[in-house]
Amino acid sequence: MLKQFKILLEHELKIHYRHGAEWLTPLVFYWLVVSLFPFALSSTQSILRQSAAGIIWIALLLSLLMSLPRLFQSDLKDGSLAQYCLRTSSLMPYISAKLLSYAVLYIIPCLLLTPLLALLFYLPAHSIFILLLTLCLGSPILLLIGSLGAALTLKARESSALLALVIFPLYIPVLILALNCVNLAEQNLPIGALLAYLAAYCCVAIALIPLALKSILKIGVT
Amino acid sequence: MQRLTRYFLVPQQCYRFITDWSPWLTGAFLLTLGYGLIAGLCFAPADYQQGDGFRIIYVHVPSALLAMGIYTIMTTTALISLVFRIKLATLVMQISAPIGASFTFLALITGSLWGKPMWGTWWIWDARLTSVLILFFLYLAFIAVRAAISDPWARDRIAAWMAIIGFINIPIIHYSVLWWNTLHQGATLTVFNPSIAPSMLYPLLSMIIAFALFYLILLCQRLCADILYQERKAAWVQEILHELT
Repeated sequence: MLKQFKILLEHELKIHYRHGAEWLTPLVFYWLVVSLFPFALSSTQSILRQSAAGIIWIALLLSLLMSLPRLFQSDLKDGSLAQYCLRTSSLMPYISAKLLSYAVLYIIPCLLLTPLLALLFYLPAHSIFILLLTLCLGSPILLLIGSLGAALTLKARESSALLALVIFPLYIPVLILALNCVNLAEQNLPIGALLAYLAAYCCVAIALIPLALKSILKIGVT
Repeated sequence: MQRLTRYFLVPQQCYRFITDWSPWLTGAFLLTLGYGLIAGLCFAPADYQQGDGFRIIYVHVPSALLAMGIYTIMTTTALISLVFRIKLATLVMQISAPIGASFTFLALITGSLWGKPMWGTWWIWDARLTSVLILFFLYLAFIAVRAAISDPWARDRIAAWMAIIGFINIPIIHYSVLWWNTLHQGATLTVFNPSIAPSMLYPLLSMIIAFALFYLILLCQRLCADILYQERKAAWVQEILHELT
């Protein structure tokens, strides 16, 4: 199983490598969305500092929404998804390879860019650290729920608008927990409990969502 | 038990069962609605703080209860349809969605109508309001996903999964919204006071039953129509159509 996982992961990364700079699009999109807000709100330091964490989170959600519809679409089109589902062995190596390669290519670059963006929004170092912590705990949940949405809308027409409708209500708890953390940290209040909840949510999502994903993908293929 | 299952598994039996019982349902609905409306709007005393404004509770609370109740029914039927592949459960699930969405919308609207004179604002990002709004979005997502998938087999399966995932999310939303709220503002007015006077309480209970019956009536009507449509080639349906024309 581990061997399968390694082969599939290598395969995924190779495909993305051959597509060249495709992985840059969501990253640039993320950067752009964040940089739109000073124009839309105000370039006043205090306003930007207050809304920085929220803006960064929303921009990450939007950039995920950009790239998520492609997650299973190409495999469905060329029929390889059907082959993976038909195989007698488990679908888990495929799912985990897919999600991991996606995280490496699309999410981690965004996370690496985040401290820089947060600095541009005049966030203090302590808050940036907390923001990154919540992003690290929250983005796996975002990715897993997003992949669930991608699988649910696999057979749908106009899937990208529908995807937003399906996954954004499910993102709200993560958003509330994470942004609460950042806000509390800014007021020097304890955030351990909220971080623990976020981490617990992350663990439960990692444990349960792939199982649901497996069944939903099989429906999507048949 | 065998007779009971037959009613729900054989479409013809189910149809007969519904048509036999629907006059009783309608009668009970009219009775409870009549008592609830008249006693609630005319005889219940005005609230000492809110005056006559509190009377919107007779629409608001039943629709809010049903908004959540119908989602629970949808999830239950979704589980049944995934596990036991019972056609009727799938039908109930898909019919319930628009009805539930309407009740959720009604709860939001009546709540905001009440909020303007009482709280001084149409909308507050309060814990309960926000979670009901998200419930509304979950209903809409369910309806939209069903509308966007053309293959009927996959559509029913995927809709069932949607309902279940949304249901798991509801307690998470509820609690996270509660925590979120603690930061922003203190407790607003308690919407539902359990120490309500009996003269106000009985009409409310009666209205809740009336609303639930109304949901059942709508469900049965749509169920009958869908059963007839699905079985339109069957002999017994042809017979009914023949009788009608």
